[in-house]
Amino acid sequence: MTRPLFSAGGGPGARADRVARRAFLACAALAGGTAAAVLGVLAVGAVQFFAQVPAGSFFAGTTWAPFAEDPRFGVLPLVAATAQITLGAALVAAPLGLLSAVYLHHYAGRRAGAAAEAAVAALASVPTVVFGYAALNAATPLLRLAWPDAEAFNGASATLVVGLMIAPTVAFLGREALAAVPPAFFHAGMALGASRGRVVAFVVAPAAARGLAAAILLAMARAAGETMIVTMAAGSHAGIAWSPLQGVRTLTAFVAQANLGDVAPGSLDSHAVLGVAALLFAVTYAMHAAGRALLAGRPTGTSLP
Amino acid sequence: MVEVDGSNSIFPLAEAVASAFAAEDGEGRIALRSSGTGGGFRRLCDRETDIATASRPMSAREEARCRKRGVRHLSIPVARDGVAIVAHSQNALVACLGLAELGRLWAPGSEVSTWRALRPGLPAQAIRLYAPGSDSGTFDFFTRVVVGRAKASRADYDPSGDHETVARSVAGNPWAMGYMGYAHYAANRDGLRALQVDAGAGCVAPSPASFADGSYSPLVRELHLYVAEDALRRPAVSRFAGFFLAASSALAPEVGYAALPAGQHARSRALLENAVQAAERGGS
Repeated sequence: MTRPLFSAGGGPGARADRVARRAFLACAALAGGTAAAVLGVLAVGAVQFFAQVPAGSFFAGTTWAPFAEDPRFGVLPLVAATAQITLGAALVAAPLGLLSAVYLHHYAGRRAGAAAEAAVAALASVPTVVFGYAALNAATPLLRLAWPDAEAFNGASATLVVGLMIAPTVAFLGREALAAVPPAFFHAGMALGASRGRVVAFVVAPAAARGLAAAILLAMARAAGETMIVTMAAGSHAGIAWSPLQGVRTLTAFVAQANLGDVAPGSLDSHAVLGVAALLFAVTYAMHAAGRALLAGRPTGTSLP
Repeated sequence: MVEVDGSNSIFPLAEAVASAFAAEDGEGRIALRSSGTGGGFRRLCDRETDIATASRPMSAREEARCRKRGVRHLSIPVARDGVAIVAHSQNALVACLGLAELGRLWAPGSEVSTWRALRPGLPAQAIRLYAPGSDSGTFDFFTRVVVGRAKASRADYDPSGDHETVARSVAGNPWAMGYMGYAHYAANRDGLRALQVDAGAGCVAPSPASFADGSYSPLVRELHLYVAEDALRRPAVSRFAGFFLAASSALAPEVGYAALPAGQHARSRALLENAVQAAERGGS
């Protein structure tokens, strides 16, 4: 007797379906529940924090010294540091990643492409603690050869290495964006006698612009949330650093450093940690949402825009 | 397994003692951490560590918290340590600082932001300040001695969880200044210069000798082990605490501390032995 490939109700297949459906539902519920719990903790912490610290002095203050005798909760230095690292890393990763994406999709032969892809994938799989070590012990000494004024813990080294870390994200998402452009665009351009470079630059890239921008945004969200590299290499300056050669402390680095032992549960400090974590979450979520919105709105299929 | 956590200042000594203990005892395994003196006290009172190492005495608030949780503990002095004021090795501007100058520099809201503001005639370069973070016993001790009130410090310095980071930061900036436990300076001399301190009786350089004879005071302090009395019932813990005290006499000067004077050392030993006996009686 042969088992039917599709069964319409009843039979062992249907029971397996029900079990599978429940198992998948449980997985989805676990993920959703975890997200809800995290959001809940952040929200409660943020509410408790803002009950004690006026929002104005948090968002507009320029000194972050939560553990001082006379604590200051001006988050601008942390925001400035995160912005510096995120934008700087994007400046490093965007050209590297986008050019890699173009190479992988439009230029590389089968062998060279496989090798290049393996190299990018290898970069993507380096643990962040190794990147942090490299930032501190390779990037910083090199930087100090060029700029002897650079401090032992500085923003520039961390920015550079975070940029390298997120470059594979830009490369792989960028390649997907290029691949989503209908091949007819490319062939039409070539048929008009344009060079491959011109077609990529003036036909394919503009058509893939939303996807390429999304690739950069999603990579920047990773940079903003990156913790290990900045904690190891960027320092812990309490004020706004006006030079990338100075130490900076990002939102993530503060949360990581504070939890090494400084914070007593239930104290104002612990609420400050949650307040910063909530702000960080809002920032990275907004970047993710913007990236996804760009992806959702891009033209698909073979229809001409 | 004996869990030891706490002061970053005492860490080099604890590390030396633990490796000597492992070589001699063989079976005793020691887990060393350095969450800072405050962090160590907190974990001691949460029963997360058997021994808390400390570079300052437990505060009244910390005592109360410990009592509330029913964690009884005893405090055993094991060595003397000094806080070194460090600058970049190429900085020859200043060889000695008065205690009052340090007080002006580190006071909350201090306006001393350049070397010239610290002392007229020096360059108008900004001073970059690095120091242990607020959970550090060294921070509490330094602010109490230099500023006059524990934890009273200017807020615009770069805090670090460990003294190694302070050392590395100061060595990386010719215009930097910082403070740290002397043993960490001794282990990271490259690029650093320890300044002399004048507390009124002339300039004195930090060294195990000036800690031992007290001439570096008031920046000399005692380092303590805080041992949970419950934990003392475990032979591994009482053995390690006894070993720590005994071995410190010889090891302390080697790694940058001063040994306790003989009388005090004997008092520490008696304190520990009594507590171990009491714990054994209570446990049986």
